[in-house]
Amino acid sequence: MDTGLFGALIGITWKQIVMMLVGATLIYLAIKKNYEPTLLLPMGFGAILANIPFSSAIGEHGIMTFLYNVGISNEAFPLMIFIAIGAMIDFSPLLKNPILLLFGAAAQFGIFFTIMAAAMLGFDLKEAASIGIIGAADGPTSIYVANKFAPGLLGPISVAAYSYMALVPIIQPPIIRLLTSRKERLIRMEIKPKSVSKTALIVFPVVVTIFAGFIAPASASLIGFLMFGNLIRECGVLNKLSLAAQNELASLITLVLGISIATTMTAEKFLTERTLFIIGLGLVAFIFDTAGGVMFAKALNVFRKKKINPMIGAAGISAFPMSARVIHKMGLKEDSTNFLLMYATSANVGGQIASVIAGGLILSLVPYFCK
Amino acid sequence: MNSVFYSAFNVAAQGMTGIFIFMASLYALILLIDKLFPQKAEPKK
Repeated sequence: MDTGLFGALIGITWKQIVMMLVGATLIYLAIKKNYEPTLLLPMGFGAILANIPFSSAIGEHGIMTFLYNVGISNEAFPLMIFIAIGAMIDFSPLLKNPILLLFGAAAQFGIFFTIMAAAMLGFDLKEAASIGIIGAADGPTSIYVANKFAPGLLGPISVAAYSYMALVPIIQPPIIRLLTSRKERLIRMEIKPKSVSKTALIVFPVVVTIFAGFIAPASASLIGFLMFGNLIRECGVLNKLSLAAQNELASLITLVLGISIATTMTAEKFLTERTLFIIGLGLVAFIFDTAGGVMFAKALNVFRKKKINPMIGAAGISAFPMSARVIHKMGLKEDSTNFLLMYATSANVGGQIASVIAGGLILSLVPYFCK
Repeated sequence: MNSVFYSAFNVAAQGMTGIFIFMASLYALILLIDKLFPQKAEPKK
């Protein structure tokens, strides 16, 4: 658009100024507080770029719109990130303690609770499901589901998902302390030295893909790409590709992912009452995820002779490895000789699988109830 | 309660049930994989 000199300055609205401040805040949080800088920094910068009046970066021929169309609207970028994540995950802690998979399931409770809460607040079912998935504590899954069901809400959902993932060390401890007694937090977990065979690690991603594909075909691309990345890692003959997926692919996609999402962070789309609800509901999702994991562990302990430290249940969310570290540190604070890291990591890895499956189930169930 | 909430409740109930069934089945599957492909003990030197 031909705006002449200083045309943008004259054309700027107060909402665009607010959005630029939002962008600057995200950049500040990324640099100063180290809150998920790989995504919040590009999103913050993109938010500024998208809100310059008459910006050539967005619109029909804008580069950000182009990147959004080639990478987000067809779900290519989040899926490619899954290859990278799969190549980074070591499933052996989970294979050593498979019972902790159930904690991964329990700690998805926040997703489903938030879907109901959002529906009560007036969001339609697809929007409610997209908001609930913030509780997956898994950025790419949130982006994938939100883009399918509510592309207009992608900006605030991504900001909420990545911000709360960075805030896990602040969100989880008070909830855990509230729901557990000191006696429960002191439950000791013995360290069992056990190793997993190479064949099991290779068979695992293939079997999980087939199994998940049959149960929830809508999750096939999500879980399939995650497990494809993991198979590259574990097969032992593609080390170069595995390293490329973990480093170059992850870096390149992350580089454009944040700035592409920022295409949706224009003032008219972002500065609405709904954004505030989404940010609030995202926090609710994380709180109920943590509560779900802890309460499930406590319920399991009623039937078990050998009790599990219920704090480990909270590590069932997908935010890896922050959540496992938080639980380990909390355990050490109560008893400096109680090492929970191995168990918390297993639950955390279980949460990574569970969050993807939760995304797939939502993708299958919501269209059925929207008929 | 409106019909959207009713649908959301159904999604939540079936989603939570589905995820537990999936993870419990996966647990059984891992036990099976562990049985079929056990880690062989290292030969003593």
